This record gives sequence, structure tokens and C-alpha cells, in this order.
Amino acid sequence: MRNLYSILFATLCIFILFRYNCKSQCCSVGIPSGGTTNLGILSEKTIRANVFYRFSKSDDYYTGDIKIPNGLVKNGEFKFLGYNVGLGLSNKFLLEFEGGYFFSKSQEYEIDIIKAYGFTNHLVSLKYNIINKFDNSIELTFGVGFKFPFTSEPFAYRNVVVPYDLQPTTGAIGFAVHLFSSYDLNDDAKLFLIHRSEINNHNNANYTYGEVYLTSIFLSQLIIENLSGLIQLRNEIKTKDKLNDKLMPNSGSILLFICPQLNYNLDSFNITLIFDYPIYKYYNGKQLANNYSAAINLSYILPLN
Amino acid sequence: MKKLIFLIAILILTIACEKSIKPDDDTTIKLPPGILEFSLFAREYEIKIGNLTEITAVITPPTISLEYQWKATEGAIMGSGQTVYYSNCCASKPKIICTIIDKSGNRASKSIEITVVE
Repeated sequence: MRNLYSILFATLCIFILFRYNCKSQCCSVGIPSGGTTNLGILSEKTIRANVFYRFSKSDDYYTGDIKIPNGLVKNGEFKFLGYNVGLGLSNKFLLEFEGGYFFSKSQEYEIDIIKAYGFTNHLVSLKYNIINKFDNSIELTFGVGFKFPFTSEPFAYRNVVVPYDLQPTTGAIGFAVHLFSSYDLNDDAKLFLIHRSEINNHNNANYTYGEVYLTSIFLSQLIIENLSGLIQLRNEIKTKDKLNDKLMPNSGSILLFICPQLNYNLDSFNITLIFDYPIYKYYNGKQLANNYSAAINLSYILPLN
Repeated sequence: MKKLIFLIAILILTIACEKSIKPDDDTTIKLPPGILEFSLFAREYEIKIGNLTEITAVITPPTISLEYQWKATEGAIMGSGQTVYYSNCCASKPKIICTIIDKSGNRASKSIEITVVE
């Protein structure tokens, strides 16, 4: 229990440290969140595959936490297929590969629609299990990852380079830190705390996408046999982007989402339906804000032995 | 298993070492053969937030077949080809860059600055 309090305290410290220098843009450059709790340690020689499809819509403009009229973009959307494959190297070490493909990212203007598509950044992570005891009633896993793009060239639609927030990839390398913890409240209920920080390097255009700090608290409760309900509270903090080392005033945000989920479990197979709704939005400058997103996640665990 | 980790590490290092900063495309003076003049004109050089300005690449002689590539340091370029439209949500002084490419792959770039005000 003391460990759980330590994790909560560490997460709060991270929030406080980065609270005052944040911002983001509408269309989620980088790897959208899968929203799953299937990210913990695996036993040796076990493979876990998560595949998810996410749809997101944005059509409001915000300045600070205030909705404002007359946005330049009438509608912004993305459709994304993400994947995460984990391999248990031992009962303590997990190797994970994560990435995805934007089927479409679009912004509708009064006279035109600008589109983009392609692979997002990919991430290779090594996770180490620090605590896994009391018959697996508590878990604490820490990880570090290396982010890399499949291309460093900016995406151009009809020979026109699309805006930064519409690019499918940052076009730059980066690093990630993971923290995963879970705690069994009782036989039917479980609490998860998942944190991820991402830091990006500059790309070929000398544009640096802001740092991203994602922290989620999940509470899972068994409803009937094999069917669980989950409620996720997720905080997303993005710091300001930089162009030629100059901060971009209209980038960076603090968002708080509530995400109800339904999970159906059948042996090694899980299917999860997720709906993300922002309950608090704060955008630096003036930005297109996320309205909602929804995802379906499929997860499969396969022992190699 | 060790071989797999080693291969992934090599892949990551290879990708990381390829990264380097290139300067933004900017004005190049040498024009592709057959082109006497290349310039950019905006209908308005100062626009209000959310308004559009038309930007045209003017080529002399105008009959030469070229590919036009556009990019902006901030904001959005709409349309494609010789004439495009530019707008931005926010006050800024973006640079709009146009690169022309002829059939032989010769290229030249020009840029103009637009001021977006509240």
C-alpha cells in the first residue's frame, strides 16, 4: 500500500513540475493513446499483441479554457490504427514495440480540405518489473523507450506541405519513460495507474514538437463473468512546440479526459470499447480543440512454450 | 533472444545517426534553364486572423510547364499549383516558400512574408 502512495505522489510531482509550461495542438501528432490497461509485465516467453482503431473529432476553438467562435478550421478528424507488441524476455524484463498508421488526418477549411496519412512514430521500449508480489495483487513496472520516425520528410498533400499539427509523424527521434502500476482492491476490482512521458528531438525543419505527459488512473470492476467495466481518468499535458528554438505561442495544452470502457475477456483474448470525452481543456494561445474520440482495442496473449 | 535485442539496437542506432538538421528551403537565385523570372505575389501581404490571401507564383515566360511545391512556416496553405491561398488562426509573421521544379529536376525557391494580425 505504501508503494501505491509513492506512485501517486511521484505522479503528482510530475504534474506540478510541468503544470506551468504547457500547451498542445488539435490533431495529436505522434502516437495516439490506445487507452488500454494491457501494458504490464509479461511472464517469460509470452507475447502480447494490442491492436486498436481510434477515431477523433475536433471542431471547436479554445483560448485558455474558453471556447471561442470563428475558427479557421471547420472540422478536424483522424482515423488511426495502432499496435503494440510485447515480448516477455524474462519474468522481470519486457520488450515492447509500438506504432501505428494514420489512415487519414484531415482539416476542413472554408475553401478546401487538407489531408494527410502515413505511419506515425514508432517506439521500442524495455520495461523492468520492480514489484510483483502478494500473488500479483500489486505490480510496479518501469520502462524506457526510443521513438523513431519512418520518414524525416514532411508530408505534402498535392505538393503542399501540410501544417505541423496535421503531420502523421514528428519526423524526429525521441525518448519515452513508462510507469505502470496496478493494485487489486478486491477479487473483482482493480486500480491502475499508468504514466508515460515523451520527449521529442527537432526534425529536419528544426521544428520540435512539445513534450507529452500522459497519466491515467483506471478503475476496473467485474460486471458479470468475463465482462468488466472500466472508468479511466486521463490527464494529457503537452508543452509548447518550438520552431528554430522559438516557442510557438499557439501550441501546448492541458486536457483531462474521462473514458468509460467495456472489456470482454475470453481466455487470452480481450476486446475493449473506449470512449474519450474531455472534461477539462486548456489550450495555450488559440487552438483547435478535441471534441471526443472513440476506440476499439483487441488484445491477445500468446505463450510461446 | 540476445540476437534479437542486438538487431533492434543496431536498427535504432542506424536511424538515430541519420538525423541531421537541414536549413529551411529559402530563396535560390539560380533559375532552371529557360526561365527568365520567378517571383511570388500576394494579393494582400497583411491579413486578419482567419482571412485568406491569394499567393501566385509568377513565371516568365508563363508557358513553361513546372511543378509547384509550397510550404509555410506557420498556418495553412489551401489549394495547389501556381496559385494557392494562405490563412492562419493566429497572429504571426509566417514565411511562405514556393519551389518550382522543371521536367529535368532543376529547382528554384522563392519566399514571401505575410503578416497575420488580430
